[in-house]
Amino acid sequence: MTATRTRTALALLVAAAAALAGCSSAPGGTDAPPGAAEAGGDATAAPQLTGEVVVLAAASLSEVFTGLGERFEQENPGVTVTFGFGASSALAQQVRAGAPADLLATANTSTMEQVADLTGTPEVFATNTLQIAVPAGNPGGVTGVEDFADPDLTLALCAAEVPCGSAAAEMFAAAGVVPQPDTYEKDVSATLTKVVLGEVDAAVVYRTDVIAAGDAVEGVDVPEDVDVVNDYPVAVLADAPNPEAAAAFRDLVLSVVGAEALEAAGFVVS
Amino acid sequence: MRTRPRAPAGLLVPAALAVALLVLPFVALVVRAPWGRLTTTIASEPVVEALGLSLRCATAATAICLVLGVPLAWVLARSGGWAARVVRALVTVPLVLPPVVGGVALLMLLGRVGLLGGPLERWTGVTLPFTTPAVVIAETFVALPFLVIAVEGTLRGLDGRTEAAAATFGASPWYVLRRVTLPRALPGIVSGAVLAFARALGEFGATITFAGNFPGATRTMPLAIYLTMESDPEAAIALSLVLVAVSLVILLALRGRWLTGVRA
Amino acid sequence: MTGLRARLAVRRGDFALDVALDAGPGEVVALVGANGSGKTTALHALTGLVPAAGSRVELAGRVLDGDGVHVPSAERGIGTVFQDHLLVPHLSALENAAFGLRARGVRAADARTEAARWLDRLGVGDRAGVRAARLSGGQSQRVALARALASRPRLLLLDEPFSALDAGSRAEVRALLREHLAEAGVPVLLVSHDAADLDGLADRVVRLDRGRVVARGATAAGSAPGPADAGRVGALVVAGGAGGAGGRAPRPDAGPAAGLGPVLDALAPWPTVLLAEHPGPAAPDGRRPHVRLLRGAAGGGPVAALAAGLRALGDGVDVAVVVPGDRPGAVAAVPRLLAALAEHPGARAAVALGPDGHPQPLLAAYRAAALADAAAAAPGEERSAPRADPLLRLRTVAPAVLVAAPPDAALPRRAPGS
Repeated sequence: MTATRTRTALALLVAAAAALAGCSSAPGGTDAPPGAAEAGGDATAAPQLTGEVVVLAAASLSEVFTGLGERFEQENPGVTVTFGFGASSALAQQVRAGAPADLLATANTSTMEQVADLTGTPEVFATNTLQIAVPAGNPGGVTGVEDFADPDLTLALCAAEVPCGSAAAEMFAAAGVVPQPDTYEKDVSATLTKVVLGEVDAAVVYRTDVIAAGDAVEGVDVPEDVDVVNDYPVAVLADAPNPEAAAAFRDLVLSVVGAEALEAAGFVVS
Repeated sequence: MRTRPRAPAGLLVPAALAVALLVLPFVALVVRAPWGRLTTTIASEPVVEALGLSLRCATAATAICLVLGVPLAWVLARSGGWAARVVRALVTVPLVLPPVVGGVALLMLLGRVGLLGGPLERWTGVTLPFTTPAVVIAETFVALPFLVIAVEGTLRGLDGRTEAAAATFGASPWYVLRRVTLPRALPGIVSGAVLAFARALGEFGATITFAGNFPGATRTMPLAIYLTMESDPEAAIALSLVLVAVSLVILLALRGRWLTGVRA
Repeated sequence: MTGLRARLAVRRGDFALDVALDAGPGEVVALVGANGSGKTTALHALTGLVPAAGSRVELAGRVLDGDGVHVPSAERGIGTVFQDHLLVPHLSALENAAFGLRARGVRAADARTEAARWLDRLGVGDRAGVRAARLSGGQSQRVALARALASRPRLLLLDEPFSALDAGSRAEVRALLREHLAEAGVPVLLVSHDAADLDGLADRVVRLDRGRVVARGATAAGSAPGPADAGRVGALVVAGGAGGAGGRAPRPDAGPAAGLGPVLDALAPWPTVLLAEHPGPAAPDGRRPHVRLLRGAAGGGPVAALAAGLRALGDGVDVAVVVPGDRPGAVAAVPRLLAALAEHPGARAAVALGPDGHPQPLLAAYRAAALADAAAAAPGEERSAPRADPLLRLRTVAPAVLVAAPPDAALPRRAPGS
């Protein structure tokens, strides 16, 4: 009698597990061919998009993309856009681990290349350059890249594993400066936060971050000859649950509307 | 003749699932470990540095927890009023708080422009964030409640008559505490210390927010694993195995009556 | 005065302890009484473990409680053997025995030597290194004794100190104690249920009941089963002639109340109702708070008067002793009456036999129910048949135990204020 009970319990469990597995969000598809919604296209000509679009984007894109997402939702009422922002390298790991995302936008091309086998063709939509961020009032009196060699200053950099960090490393190498940071933060947002809070005298972040932080932060420019330019690519993921909507959002990013928003945030769109 | 009634079979299934949930991830870790590179990865300088830092900081944090936590536990165990209840609830807050919140709070208090950190920097020039002491502070913050709760539970379970009897023989309250109460409470104290050490060793959110991340100074094992995961997942697995092994060694070394008997 | 003089007043919930105890140097006073009578509470009040506001305790000429002073228990210099010994479980027998000395600053080596000596004398020297948690009950008790004795106390309080020992060991330890106490000159209070302890060790016995001293005496009298074993006792004193020899009807309001005072005193602290119209000098005043005067009860005859007196005693009485008010020496029979009643749970009364061999219903202990029943049966009968024996109903209370009363004894002199 106990054996039967155990078997019944097991059977119930298997059924429950199967039901849960089947409960993933149903992709909202349309019958329209993907090519119908091209960049800058007339919204009324495109077929209705529905469902959820999951966009993984570099931390430096958080404000711009959030704005574009709201616009996209207004133009496509049936669609919800969900964002996951973080260090590009972390996002690439998530994609490799099978995260159910539709679109990936990273802060440099090498990170995108790490998951080239899992995405469609990437397209560069913007570039970003580095800038030194200091707290309002510049308490540390930081004037340039050379100050990063000063051990008496409290300095923050992005961790070398993330795009912002590797770009900064390149820049310091080009400038011949050996930086003496006190902390390597896990992504550019965390690095910027330390500046905003006044915990560090300076940090190397993107120009867009300095703009996004507003009055809390001041920017000190990096000489052009050593500045590192990051190309930001975007790609639809091969296993995207909602490829049509993903492509539509990508097209928005690449469109004139997207370019305006990016430039307003401080990105450079060629 | 069976002395205990058998557990109903229905209980065994969830119990087995619980075991699976807890054990299988480690099995997967072991299976996917890069056994070929394991020794070189573990012996590499950054890893040795991170591990050494983790162990030193966790030990320091546990020591502070003992020095501060045992007296607090004693006071709470002996007090009955509403004030004691309020204090006990406050002490438990870090237990339910996400560690990152703890880190933010510590930053607000002890950061360079923090409530206490600001004056500290102005008067002594000392700043705490991004230093090894900051790691110890963050770990103490999250581990202290574990120790206080474990020790208070033990002390409450001791009936005070032995202490009262000892006192009639001329022993001062300190003498009674030293020779009678604390030794009787020792199993609970050790248990609490082990819990605190384990919690401190694994602390991530508060550390990375308050102490930052710098190799040798503040890059503890959990931080190293998190960041390595993004660039070299296999190395991250190796590091994870190291941390699991260290934890197992600690738990095994203090097995049996130290851990099962929180009550004296 | 180098011994103990204590007047203890403790209030814990419903329980009130009001006890005067004293013991001279080297004197062993035994505290006896039923469970709940306050013996352990008295000991704890002396050690300072129980709040005892209103107590006055002097030991070796030093005030421990009183005059606004309360010396904390650690500084009283009292050595106690607790009922559950309360040794420190993780310390060895030797360390436990040495505890009192080391706690007061004696050097560890010296303390251990002295403690070891005591352990040897008490026969547990071979267990010196064993952790207290591992000792047997008897061994623990000996170690507890060693701890108390080794701590060089000014007063020894022993709460059932031999209960875990077998008879042979008990005799041995008792002898040892006797020897030591004589030379140490320290007062001792001993709580025990064992008559042999009392015979072998105690110089005096004090009996407690419901938080009060009900008897003091030399060992033999004090150790007899007494009031606490029969139940709660109340006393009815019939003033005037008692139906002593022969069946002469007593007249509760006749005669001078010359012997009344000592009788009332001897019955303290039992609640007492005095049935009399003219109590004279024995009128209740502040000096005898345990006594109430009931007048006007004589009309219905002696039995009705007793019933009225019983009602006046209230609900808290299980046994009513009836005592003639003009024979102070008769009070000596009371312990025997109560003992008899306690030994015969089926008896409803224990009645003293007079020298002529006749039962004296007015010197007896009645269970409260029996007295109430006797009074209830045909209340008007006595008046309607005046020549019938007015004590008939009392005489017929059955089943009754007849107790040979001792010849009227002189009452022990009581110290004023005790």
